Amino acid sequence: MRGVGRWGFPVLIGVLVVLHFVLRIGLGLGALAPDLLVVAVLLAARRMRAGNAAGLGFALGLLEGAMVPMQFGASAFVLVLLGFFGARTRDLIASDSAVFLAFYLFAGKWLFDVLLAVVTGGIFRGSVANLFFLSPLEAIYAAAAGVVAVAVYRVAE
Amino acid sequence: MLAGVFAALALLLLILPGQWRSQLADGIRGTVLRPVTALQRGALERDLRLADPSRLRAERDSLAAYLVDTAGLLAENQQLRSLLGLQQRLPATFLPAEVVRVPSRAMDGIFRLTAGARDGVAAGAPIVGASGLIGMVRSVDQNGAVGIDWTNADFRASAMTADGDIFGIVEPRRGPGGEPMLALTGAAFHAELAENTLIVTSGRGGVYPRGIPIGVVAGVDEEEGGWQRSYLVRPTVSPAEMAYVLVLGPRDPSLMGRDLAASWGITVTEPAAVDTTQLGAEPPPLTAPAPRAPAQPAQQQPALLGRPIQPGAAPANPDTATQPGGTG
Repeated sequence: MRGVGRWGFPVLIGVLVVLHFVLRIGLGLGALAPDLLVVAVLLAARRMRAGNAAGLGFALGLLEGAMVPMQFGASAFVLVLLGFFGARTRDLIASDSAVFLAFYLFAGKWLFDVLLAVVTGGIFRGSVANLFFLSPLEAIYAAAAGVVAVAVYRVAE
Repeated sequence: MLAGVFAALALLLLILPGQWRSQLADGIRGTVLRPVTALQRGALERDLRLADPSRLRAERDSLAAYLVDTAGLLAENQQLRSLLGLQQRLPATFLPAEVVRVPSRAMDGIFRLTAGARDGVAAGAPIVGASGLIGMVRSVDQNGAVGIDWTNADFRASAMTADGDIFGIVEPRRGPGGEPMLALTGAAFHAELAENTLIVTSGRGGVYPRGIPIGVVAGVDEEEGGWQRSYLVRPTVSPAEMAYVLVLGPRDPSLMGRDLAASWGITVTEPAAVDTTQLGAEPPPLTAPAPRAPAQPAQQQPALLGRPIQPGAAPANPDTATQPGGTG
């Protein structure tokens, strides 16, 4: 990798993580801001080994869970799984196109919501409707934000 | 392998006791996420500052509405307590009832009562309040009745001074400034009534029992032909106090012969015997102490933060007849 150097992509991931916490929690935007944490884990997983991606998911999940105490541990577990499987998709699909990226981020974010609902028990407390109506919308939002971020990175690269 | 380790660690976090998880979360928030929590606090404070004026205005308006409602409740409570005390002192045939003003006839002094023929109320029954006479029942149906108060043009009552010396008829009259009042007509010209002399029902005519307070003398109304006088009388019961009343139920023939003045705390002293050798000298004054209202519990003013908002004034206590009346 030339241009932004070998640290360009890690910086992108770091910026996404910081933006996630600043927008969602620091400024109190909540769901109005896209879930850039999941986007960061999914994008990083495409360029890391499964174990490392799982570790990244664990670390970011700890940070996310610290701000939402009811999900402490649950976010970490789900992001570990997401990182692991995200890294595994590299073996199945090598494409790096914007279409694939959008689909990949959409599926990854939706899967995150489903797994989180299962692990926290929310799925048994009546949030199934949200998984079919609200979550896809949030997944589209996250996918769009991720595609834009990668596009900006590639321009800078 | 590594992924399995992290997954196991995450599962361990899930099953940790809540207190340990909270401590771990607090530690992360206080270190790595400290800038984020500071930013969050700043955003919250900014929102509070921006929303403050409108929130304070809304709270102030709610408080004002609450105080106005509370003032009404306090006045109603006071009326009911007074009525309860009076009911215990009156004969058992007096029944409690609520006055329902007829919107189109409120200014005529006409209202409905919630007691009717099934309660033993009959047309012509007197209606009294905690402070004195209100009016009478005009017509009755099974569940209610129509009554008139002293502001109605048809209201009349045979009246006398509390000591029984001066007699007359009270009827509605407009006082200075258009204030609704009563006039005691037909009083003898030579009899001079001082202000604040208590006027009560005389029991004549068989409509109102004797001794029910009507009002106090407020001044001379007019003098007719040098042989009669009319006096303005300020009623003891104001229209605002006519929400809860007592109405005479099943007729008790012995009631008309009784003096109910004591039920309102009125005690009449007999006039001193006249010494004929001292004719022309100033006779000793007669005393008719004012009717005492039943004891009320001490009212506690609610503690208000900041500047209190004053609700409408509560009805005045008509306990005003205290002065001795000069009589002839």
